Amino acid sequence: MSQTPKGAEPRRPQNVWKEQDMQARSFTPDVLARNAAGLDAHIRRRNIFEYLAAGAVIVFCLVISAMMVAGGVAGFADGMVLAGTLTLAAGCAIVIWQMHARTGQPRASSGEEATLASMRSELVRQRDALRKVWIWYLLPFAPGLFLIYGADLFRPEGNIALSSGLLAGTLGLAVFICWLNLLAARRMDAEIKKIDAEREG
Amino acid sequence: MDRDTLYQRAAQRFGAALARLACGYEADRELARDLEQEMHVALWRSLENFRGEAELSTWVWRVAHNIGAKHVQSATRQKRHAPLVPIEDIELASPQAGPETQTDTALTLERLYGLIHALRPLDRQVMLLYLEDLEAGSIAEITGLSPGSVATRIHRIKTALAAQFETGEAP
Repeated sequence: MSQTPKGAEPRRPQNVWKEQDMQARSFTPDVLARNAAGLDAHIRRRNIFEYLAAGAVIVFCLVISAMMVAGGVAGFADGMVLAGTLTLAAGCAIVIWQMHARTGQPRASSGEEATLASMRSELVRQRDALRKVWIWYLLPFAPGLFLIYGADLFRPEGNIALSSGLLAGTLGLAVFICWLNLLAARRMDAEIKKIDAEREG
Repeated sequence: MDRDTLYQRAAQRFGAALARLACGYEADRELARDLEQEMHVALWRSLENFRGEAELSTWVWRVAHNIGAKHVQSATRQKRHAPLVPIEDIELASPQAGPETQTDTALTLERLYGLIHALRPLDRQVMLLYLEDLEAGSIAEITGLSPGSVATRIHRIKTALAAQFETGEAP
């Protein structure tokens, strides 16, 4: 531990900072490429639970559809359920594709933009994705669910109260998810405004 | 000049600064080493698009600070540290030690890191660049802050540093 002698002028914080005992590291291109691939894989694995859950729903829907076809589709209501399970599987696939496109790709950092501009564009990207959650995360499920819930309307023994309850519950959940995302988007908007104010000085 | 050569040149010139920067963005030394490595990877990747429109130094600082700021934002989301504050709200520890220990390098560094780690990313960027002895104009170019805003922040930083370390720097 080094000390400045009594009565001596304290050292400039900049000098203390720059004279820290730090070992400069440098990596070979091979190591950098390997690390870059590792980081990409980590980003791809981030959504693994969503991918697995959606995959399970797709498999479940396809199995149900296959069983219905094998058993013979009797009547309009069964046809609606079959169309609903297939549409739900397609909806899941769309959501996964959108999730992968929006969050699964690593975003390379660039030195072209000033850091504030870079922070701003990242916030804008995230805010816009949150604002559009209802389009890319919720809407793809709607046709399949409406067809499945609506099938009961065409069954003589259909339990309309149960179907309506499920529909209302699903809609309520969708509205809640939208509200949470819009709330987060509003917080990001406030941060974007702060950045704009900082840039204008 | 190809990317690998550019990277080697940048790493040679800024390697130590990147190590300091990583420690400025992450208090845990092991995590700071990971962050430093992430900065190197990001820099190497980014240099694919380097066309010389900006100085290499400006490019390196921008890429490294972008990675650092993202790291802090992610830690904030995970609530891994106390709420961060702007430089004007920083609470200064009153110097309690005697004159000998006040000038001690290790203690100065410890206080410096305490100050840096309490700052929100934008103020932290200005503080870290100031500590690297960059001019206000360069800091404005790297961060995108207006020169007036940089000047105000530097003034506050000088005041905070003077209060903490009795450097005698004019606030």
